[in-house]
Amino acid sequence: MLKQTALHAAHKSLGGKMVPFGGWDMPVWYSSAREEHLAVRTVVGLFDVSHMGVLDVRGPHACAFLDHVATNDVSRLAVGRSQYAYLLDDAGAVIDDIMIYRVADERYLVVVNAANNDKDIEWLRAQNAGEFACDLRDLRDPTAGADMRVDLALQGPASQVLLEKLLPDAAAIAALSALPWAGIFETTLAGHTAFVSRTGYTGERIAYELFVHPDESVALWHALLDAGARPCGLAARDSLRTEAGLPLYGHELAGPLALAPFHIGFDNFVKQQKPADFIGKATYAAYAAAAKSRLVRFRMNEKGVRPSKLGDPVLDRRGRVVGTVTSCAQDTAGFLTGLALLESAAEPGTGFAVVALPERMPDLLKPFAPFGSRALVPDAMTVVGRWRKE
Amino acid sequence: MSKSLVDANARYLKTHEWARPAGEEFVIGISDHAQQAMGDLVYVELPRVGDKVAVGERFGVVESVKAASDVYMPMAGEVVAVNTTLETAPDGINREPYGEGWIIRIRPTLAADFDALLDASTYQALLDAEEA
Repeated sequence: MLKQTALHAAHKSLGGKMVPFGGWDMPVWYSSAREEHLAVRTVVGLFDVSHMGVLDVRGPHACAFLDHVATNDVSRLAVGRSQYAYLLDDAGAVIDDIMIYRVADERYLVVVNAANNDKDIEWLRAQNAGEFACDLRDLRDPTAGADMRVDLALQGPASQVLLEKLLPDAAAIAALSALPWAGIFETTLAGHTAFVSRTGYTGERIAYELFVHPDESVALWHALLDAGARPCGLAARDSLRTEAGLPLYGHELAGPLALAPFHIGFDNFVKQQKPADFIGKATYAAYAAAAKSRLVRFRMNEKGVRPSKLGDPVLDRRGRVVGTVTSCAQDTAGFLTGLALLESAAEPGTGFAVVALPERMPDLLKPFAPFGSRALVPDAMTVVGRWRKE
Repeated sequence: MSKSLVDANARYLKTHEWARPAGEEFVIGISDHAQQAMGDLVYVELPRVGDKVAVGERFGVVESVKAASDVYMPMAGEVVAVNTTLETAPDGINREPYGEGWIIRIRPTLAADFDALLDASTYQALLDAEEA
């Protein structure tokens, strides 16, 4: 049985095409994934990300606890700021990628992937035994009462101006305009108590996440739509993050290729030199030193080619497999752009080919193949910069 | 999804392909319902002019980033034209599934195959049941 967010009925009434994702019934698009992608790049889009896990970690040892389980340096995280980090297991493998928001001196919000929510909570509870003894709560569980929070993402160049309309006073508007990247503050939006953070998963720098009570998420959702935001589904979320070069758990992190931050250019979120020891530190370092394969971003040279997907092979000019596609989606200009793990790093401008394997494999070419039979044609691609230029 | 359109002059397969008479020949494509269900199309595989295809045989593939679907022949015949603009602009099917997004034109083996297809009102009833 798929879980539903508080916005499920709102998605259906907007004509959202619903699909299963991480155990939740979520909108993949409303009218057109492509138009939704463009809306975020040029104006402002609104995503229901209330399927994502929101945890609350409180107590005098909350900082020490998070520093022990997460790879980033939590001891350096100031109140009103956030950081991206990983949970590693004892073997140094990625359990999940997370965002840590410090909302008060001894209080942190931790946002985790929907599909990993239960696994993460179980892992964190097991590590919380003994000296840490933090108050660790799932803010999507009804037992959190008035403290319950879910995440909505408002992303794109017009998102700041739109959000201003919902703020209560000039002081809040000033706080929003002074909010740096990764900052967070508490305010009200259209009368609803909310944490507003300047974070996101689209590659946009004017971008916010809004943490509200699920009972108020529907009213806030409609207030944001009325103010001019375009509802966007999971397909646009995926194409925006792929174009931006951001990893998705199960594709560019962990997953069938067992990828880790050092493979994908995110090693700087694993702070080997931080004062605190953290779970997986030594094994991660050994694993990182031995690995040569690297993630690249690529763009297909032509439009109208078959889209590739996780697992499709990357070939060099001689037809040798030198990599594996991890994600692929249509970019702002209408080309297919993707991420691929290559056996070793490659500079932007390097050409390769991708074979988009169809569900049904055609007959292989053989001598005197009958006219009209089909073979697989590799499509040319070019490695581009690891990150999208704005 | 918004309510999908049905071309009253076409007849349909349950798998959402349509055929529409054009003189002695027939134009074939996929329905508005099918393109909405697929989402933005990014790739179309077409047959060649001269291919002879049987009823119910797969003659092409349409793919969005999220899904791939085979396309089946509503009528037997020989392909006399293919819409090659779809190779570079597959989203023509999203814009006008019954217009610029046509896929192939055929010379039918048996024009009476057309009568065996679902008429527009029967197909509409099928969609109403599916979309309800």
